[in-house]
Amino acid sequence: MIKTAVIVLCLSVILESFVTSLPLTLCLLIFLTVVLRKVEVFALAFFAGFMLDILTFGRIGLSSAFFTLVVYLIFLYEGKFELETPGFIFLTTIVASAIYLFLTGKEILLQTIFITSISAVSFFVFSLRNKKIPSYV
Amino acid sequence: MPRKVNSLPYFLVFFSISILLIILGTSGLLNGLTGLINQGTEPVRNATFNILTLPAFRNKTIEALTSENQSLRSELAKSQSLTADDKALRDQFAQTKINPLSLLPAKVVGFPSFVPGETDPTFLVLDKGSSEGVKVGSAVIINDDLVGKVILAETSYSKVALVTSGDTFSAKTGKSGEILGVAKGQGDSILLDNVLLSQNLIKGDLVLTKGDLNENGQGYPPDLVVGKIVSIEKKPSDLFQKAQVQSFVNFKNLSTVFILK
Repeated sequence: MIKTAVIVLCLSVILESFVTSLPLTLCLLIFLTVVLRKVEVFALAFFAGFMLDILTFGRIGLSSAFFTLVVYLIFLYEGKFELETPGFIFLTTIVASAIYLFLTGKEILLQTIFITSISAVSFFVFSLRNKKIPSYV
Repeated sequence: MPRKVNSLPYFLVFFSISILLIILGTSGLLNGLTGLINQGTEPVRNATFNILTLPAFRNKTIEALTSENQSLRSELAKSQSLTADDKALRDQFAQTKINPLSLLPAKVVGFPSFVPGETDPTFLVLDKGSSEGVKVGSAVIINDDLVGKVILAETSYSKVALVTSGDTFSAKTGKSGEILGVAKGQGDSILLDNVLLSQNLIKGDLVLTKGDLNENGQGYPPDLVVGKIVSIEKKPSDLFQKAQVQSFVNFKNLSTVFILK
């Protein structure tokens, strides 16, 4: 699973660096943290952020710091919220994306709406496939 | 349900490294590393670009028209430049009293330390250098107006100090050039100083170079127009009177000038 996560994360870093300005990597990390719930995600977040900053000519370390912070916050709320719900993904993505786009100086509103929608729908489909969707959704 | 893990140590480690990277990156210590990684990922960047701009998706007609448009724009720019050069040459040779054979046309390719709206130009960089016979000390003119003097002559370019930049030289004014003085650049104008109190300076009179060529032919030849007198300062208590001289040359708009060889 971790190997797949690494490959998908590499693809998202490449896409975010050369193709789109949407915060794909951040959303994928939120997704991975919620699904895997392994501390290895910290390393993935750090290296993905580091590569992203270099390839997008951004401030090196900024994405790494933000990604690790988001991953940590998700781990922190593990006991208090039901993480594996589209609602949690939706809320986390909308807040994290907005802050991340603000920090990196990109257009916030449209990109946040777009990426949050993609993220929530993707997680919903993923949950249906894995039959983890709670009955109240 | 996966068991809850203590994530704080992992967070602290990676977060601290990230902060350290921000500090190192800000100080420029990671420039070499980032350059290396960017160089290494260049093929990936190119491949991504190629995939996204598949030849099948390209409109050949639009590409051909865009290419033709670029080529026409380039030719138009060249044509405009040639027209300007031609006009400058015609004006120069129609008006000047100086032997055209001793004039070397040169293009202005730079105004070092000139910020439009902020500072006045002090120097010009010309596209002719020592390989074309430009020497330090040669006068630079446009029509019969004095522009400045070559202060540096490299192989393929030269640097000119404008007449307003602080250069001092002998000048004359009056109907028959009988009033002598010393002209000195003052940034945006020229000061005509050391003029005897007994002499009668008149506002609007032309100021010409007196001529201070040396034995190598370097310096200003006589009768080049320095400018016109715009104000006179005459005090009976002073030894000399002074006058402010304004050049006719708009230095900011110079594109072609002539170097006296």
